[in-house]
Amino acid sequence: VSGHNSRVRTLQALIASMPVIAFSTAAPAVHSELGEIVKSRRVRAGNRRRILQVLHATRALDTALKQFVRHHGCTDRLGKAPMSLGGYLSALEQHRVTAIGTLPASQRKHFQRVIADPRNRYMHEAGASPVSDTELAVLLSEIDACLAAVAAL
Amino acid sequence: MQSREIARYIERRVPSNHVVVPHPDHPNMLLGPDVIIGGDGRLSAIFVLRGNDSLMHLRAKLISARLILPLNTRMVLYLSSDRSLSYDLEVSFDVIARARQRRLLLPTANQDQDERVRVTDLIAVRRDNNARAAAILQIVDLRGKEVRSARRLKSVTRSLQGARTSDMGQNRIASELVLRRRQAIVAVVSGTVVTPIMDTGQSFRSRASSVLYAGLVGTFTLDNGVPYPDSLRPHIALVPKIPQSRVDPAKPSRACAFAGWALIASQSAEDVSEVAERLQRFFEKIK
Repeated sequence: VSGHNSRVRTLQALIASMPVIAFSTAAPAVHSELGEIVKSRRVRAGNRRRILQVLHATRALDTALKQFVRHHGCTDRLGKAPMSLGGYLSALEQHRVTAIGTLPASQRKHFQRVIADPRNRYMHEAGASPVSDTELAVLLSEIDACLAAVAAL
Repeated sequence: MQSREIARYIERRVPSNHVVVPHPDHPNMLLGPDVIIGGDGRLSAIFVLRGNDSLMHLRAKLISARLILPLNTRMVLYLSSDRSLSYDLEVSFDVIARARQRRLLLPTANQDQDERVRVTDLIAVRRDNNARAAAILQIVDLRGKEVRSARRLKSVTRSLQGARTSDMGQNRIASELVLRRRQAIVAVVSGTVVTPIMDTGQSFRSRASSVLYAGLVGTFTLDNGVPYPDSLRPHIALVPKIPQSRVDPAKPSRACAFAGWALIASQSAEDVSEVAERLQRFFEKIK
C-alpha cells in the first residue's frame, strides 16, 4: 500500500465515522472525491495531474465542511451562515454550538493561509497550479490535517 | 494476528460502507492504533498487544488516540497472548478482546460496553491539548526550516544540561527520558524539558518514538479512559534539521506538536532558553 493510499484510506475512515456526513447524501461523493486523489496520480502530464488532485481534494474538503457546518448550524460572529471555504473555517472557529468544539484561532488562520488562499488562486486564476510535487504535497497534506481536525471536533 | 490479518478478518465481516485501514496514516499522529474502522458514523481503533510488546508503548498510543481521534472512537485492545494489564490500563479501553474472542473486534460487537469515558472531561482535555499544539505549531512555523549541524546540536544540549539540572529530579518527563533512552541528554530550562533527537539514519518515527512515548506517559495519567494531564507545559525536541515526510511534509512537526513537543533546530543555548520562555508564555495563555 503506497503512502498516499494509506493516507486517503485513513481519511475515508474518518469521514465514514462522522455521523453528520456518514448519514447524509454527501457521503458517497466525499468518499469518491478522496479516492480520485489517488487515481489521478496516473495522469502523466505534471500540471494536469496536480490541478486534478487539487480539484478532487478541495471538493472533498468543501463538501465535508459545508455538511458539517450546516448540520450543526455553525455561524460566524455576526450570525451569518457561511458560503465559502474561508467562511466555513471562520464559522468553525467562532460558532457557539455547545455540542462540538472550536478550531483554535491560530489553526484557523493557518488553514486559511495554506489551503483556502492557494486553493482560490488555483481554481480562479488562468494557468495557476502547484509548480512542483512538493508544493502539491503541502497543500494536500494540509487539507488532510484540516479534515482530521474537523472530524475530531 | 498481525494488523493486516486483523484488517482482512474484519473487512470480510462488515458492510461495504465500512472502511478498514491497517497501519493508518493520521496527519496528527505518529503513535496510534494498528487498525482503524470507520463506518455508520463511528470509528473503532484496534490496538494489538503481542507477547513482548511494551505496556508503556501501549499506554502512550492509547493516550495519543484519545487526544486526537474523534471523540466517539471505540478503543479496542486485542491481546494476542496471555498478558495481564494494570487496572487503570484495562478500564481505559472500551473493549478487550482475547485471542479466542475475535468477534469482539467487529465494530458492531459489545456496543453496550462502550462510552465508559467521562465525555465532558475528555472534551476539556482535548481542547487544551489542541490549544497547546496550535501554540507550538505557531512558534515552529515562525522559525521556518532551519538547519544546524548535529555536532553543534549535541553541544547545545550538553551546555544546557550542565547549567540547569536542579529541577530534573521532580520532572516526570525528564525522568522517563533518562529511564527509557540510554545515555539520554536531557535538560530542564525554565521548567521546559529539552532533549535532542539525533540523526542516526533511521526513520524520524523510529528516532522520535522514545521521546514521544516519554512525553505522553510523563504528562498524562489514564483514569477510566480519560488522559488527565499533570501540566500541559510544552517541551522542546532539538533536531539538526526539521524533518519532512514525502506524502505529508509537515507531519513530523505537526504530530510532535500534538504530543506536546516543539521540533526546533537551534545553535545556541540562549536561543533554546528564548524558545522555552516563548513557549512558556503561550502556555500561560492557554492555562
